[in-house]
Amino acid sequence: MISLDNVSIRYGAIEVVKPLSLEIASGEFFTLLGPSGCGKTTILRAIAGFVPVAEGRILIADRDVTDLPAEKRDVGIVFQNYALFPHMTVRENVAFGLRVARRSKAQIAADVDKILDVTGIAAHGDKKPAALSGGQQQRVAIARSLVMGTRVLLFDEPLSNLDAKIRDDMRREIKALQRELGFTAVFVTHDQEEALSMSDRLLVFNAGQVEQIGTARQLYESPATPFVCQFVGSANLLGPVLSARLGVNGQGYLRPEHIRIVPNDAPDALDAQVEDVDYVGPLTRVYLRVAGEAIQLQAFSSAAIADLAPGQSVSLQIDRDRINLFGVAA
Amino acid sequence: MRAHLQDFRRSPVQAVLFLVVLWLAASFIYGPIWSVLRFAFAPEGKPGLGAAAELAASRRVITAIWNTLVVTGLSIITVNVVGLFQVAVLEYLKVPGRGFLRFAYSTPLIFVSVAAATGYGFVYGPTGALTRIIQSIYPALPNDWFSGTFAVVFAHSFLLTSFHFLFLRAAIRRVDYATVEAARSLGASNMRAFLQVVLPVLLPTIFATTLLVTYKSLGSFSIPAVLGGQRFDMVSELILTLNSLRRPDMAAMLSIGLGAAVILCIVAMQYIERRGSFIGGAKTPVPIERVRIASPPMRTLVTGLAYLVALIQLVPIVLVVLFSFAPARSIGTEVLPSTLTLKNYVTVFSQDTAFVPLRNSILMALAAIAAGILISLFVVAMAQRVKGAVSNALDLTFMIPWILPAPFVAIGLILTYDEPSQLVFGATLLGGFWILPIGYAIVAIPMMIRFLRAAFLSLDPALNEAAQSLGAPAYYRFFRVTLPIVLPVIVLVSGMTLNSLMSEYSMSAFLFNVNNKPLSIALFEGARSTNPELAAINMVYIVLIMAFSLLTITLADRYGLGNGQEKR
Repeated sequence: MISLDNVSIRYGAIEVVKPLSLEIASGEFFTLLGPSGCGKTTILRAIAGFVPVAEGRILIADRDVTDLPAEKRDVGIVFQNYALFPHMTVRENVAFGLRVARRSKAQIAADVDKILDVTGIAAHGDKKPAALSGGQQQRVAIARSLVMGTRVLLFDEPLSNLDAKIRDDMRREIKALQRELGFTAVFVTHDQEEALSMSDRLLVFNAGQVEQIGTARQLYESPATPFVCQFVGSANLLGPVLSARLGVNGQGYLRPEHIRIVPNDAPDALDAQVEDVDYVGPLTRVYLRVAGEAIQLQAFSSAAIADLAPGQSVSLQIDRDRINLFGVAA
Repeated sequence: MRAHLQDFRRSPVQAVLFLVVLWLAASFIYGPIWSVLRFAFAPEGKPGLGAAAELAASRRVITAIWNTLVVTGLSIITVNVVGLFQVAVLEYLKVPGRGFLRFAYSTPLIFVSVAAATGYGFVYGPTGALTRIIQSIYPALPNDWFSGTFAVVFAHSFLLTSFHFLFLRAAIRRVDYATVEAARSLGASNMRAFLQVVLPVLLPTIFATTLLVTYKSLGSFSIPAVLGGQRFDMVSELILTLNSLRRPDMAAMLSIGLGAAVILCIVAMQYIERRGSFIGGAKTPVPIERVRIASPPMRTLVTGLAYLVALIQLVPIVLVVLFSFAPARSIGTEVLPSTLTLKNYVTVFSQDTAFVPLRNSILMALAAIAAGILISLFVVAMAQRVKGAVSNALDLTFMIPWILPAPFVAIGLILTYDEPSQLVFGATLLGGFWILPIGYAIVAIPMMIRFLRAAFLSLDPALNEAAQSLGAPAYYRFFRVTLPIVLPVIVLVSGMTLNSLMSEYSMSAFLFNVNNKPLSIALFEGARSTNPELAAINMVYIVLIMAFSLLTITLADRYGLGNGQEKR
């Protein structure tokens, strides 16, 4: 549906996106994940046609759109702040594109009614955007693009303006709409939990470069680079003492849930001191030191773990086969 | 430039508009400036400083410059004393009748320029009500007691406080009262807290307001013209006199001098603005609380002074309004009118001679506003669309008149268009109707650009992109998305411009002629005449100007200055 063929993007002399090739299938929910300022939004804006590419081609539905202006690309975009036209009602906002396309009045009315119904905002048709909640505004923004029959919808961090609770609901709502209507979604976010929970596939982007493309499980369980390992979920970088004790040769990363507290007499146990304990409801995080090196473990909250006190000595067991190994130690 | 060429290739209409605007800039900004410089420094085609030497040798010129400096120096002190006192009374002290005082102190916003000067003349002038009252007690008072430096500084003191009313009051409201309480809890007295905590925060605003007063006072024109008396000149008036004496070289040179002084003020103002004020810090500032003056005699004194200032500001307005409803014969004979009538209003709207100046002013202001808004929109929109040196240069070009005093621009227009000019296809603009609206537009555009630029900058670029991704081409986006959102700002800035042009005096005094005599000139002539019929008509003019100002200001306040985009 969307393919990027060696696309690079420059601002002046700075290459903000290094040559990138990518295929996004029709109906796929594809996420660009990365820290702020890594260039992920720039890629999205290049697909939309707001940022010119320095080299390479962009194809949408097998049509080369590289040199087409944004208004001719037939790509919908939902902005971070939704960009609803403040002087128009919900209906007028949704009808905007249809009016530009000079559809008949009856056609416009029918199309708008239908999409307002699908997106669940029919009751708010005559309100101005200012009178809507964040979640409703987002639905209008989506409806406004979908009404055009757009098959590709780009989302530029649309959930970052919402409260945590609504954010959860909206995630599932976007996902449900996408599944129901079958459009191709390209979603930009810096929130790894959001990315993992919504996407069919993800691209992790850092400093203008692709780190890894894959499914959520692939990224989490077999990260291709140290960056992916640390950015998607959290990970302990094993220090020299621990690495030597565990026989690790190279940069070893270990997720906190792959460390367990075991009875003192367990075989292969490592001695550790508790530094601090964070109880966060279902989970508890324990900050430890092993031979002076900091390490963090995470486990389901249980009395045994939640009652640990700073200064206490414990024994640890580590799932060696879960260590992600990168490069060779210097 | 390449970006511009691309832009023009996409839209030939833009290219044509660009050429038109370039032509306007050359004809009405650079042309006049060039003329002023040429006449000042090379009157006969040969470079020389003869004009400057002649100015320096003229006693009348030196006196006018001296008067201007003295009036400005004194005004800075008196306006600050009155203005700071007003702000303290309204925002820092507990004084009874705050609503009434606020109303009285706000009158300089609507009682401006030649209308205010005429109003003051009506009260304090030779036949004025107050003059007659004082003379009945103290017959030796000369008729022209209210003239010269004293009269001008007095009028300035109570008419130029609008900046204090607007900006200083806003600044004191931004003071975080928690900082005052913190100082008190650390052992500072009320007075000390004010001096060491509140005042330093206000100081940048006080400097900025002072510079605005300096700027206004240096270019003061209608007030000295109406109140100064026959033998009292300030620089602006003298430039006009020199021009009518057919000494364009000296007029040009003197306007350059005035321009330099004004530019100096503006540079200083921008420096202070850039150094920034002490805003922020507190996430949740506590509003300032007004203090009750502890000592009873002091309290009585402050209250008395507060009401005296209010009286001085209100009396001219009240008398003007009353006498606008009085028969002409009661003007100059009665202290308060004994009968009231609508006859004067009927005269203004029915007799041609009385109505024509009103009509002229409205027509010329509307023409200037229409042209000004179109040019400003083009310049601002282009600067947004295509960033770069060309856009910036065009933007700056139309901002130039902001730093030039009106007499400078007016002399430039006169010197450029007093004979057929190639710039306007061989027309002679001087003496025609259009020269004055052109002048109005030139001085109005900088404010329009400032407001529109702010509106365009606060416009969320995503709105345009959203429209674009929905398939809307450039012109459609401009008319359906951008324009409706900035429309309130356009209406607002148009209203404010119309308001100031209705009583515009500086430009009008230079450029008016029989074809376009505006309201301000009619007022000025009426103020100088001894004919009570003309005085009566003047009262109506002033009331109309004030009513109009009040309407614009109320609307601006209601719809929020620069609050064009709806909150989302």
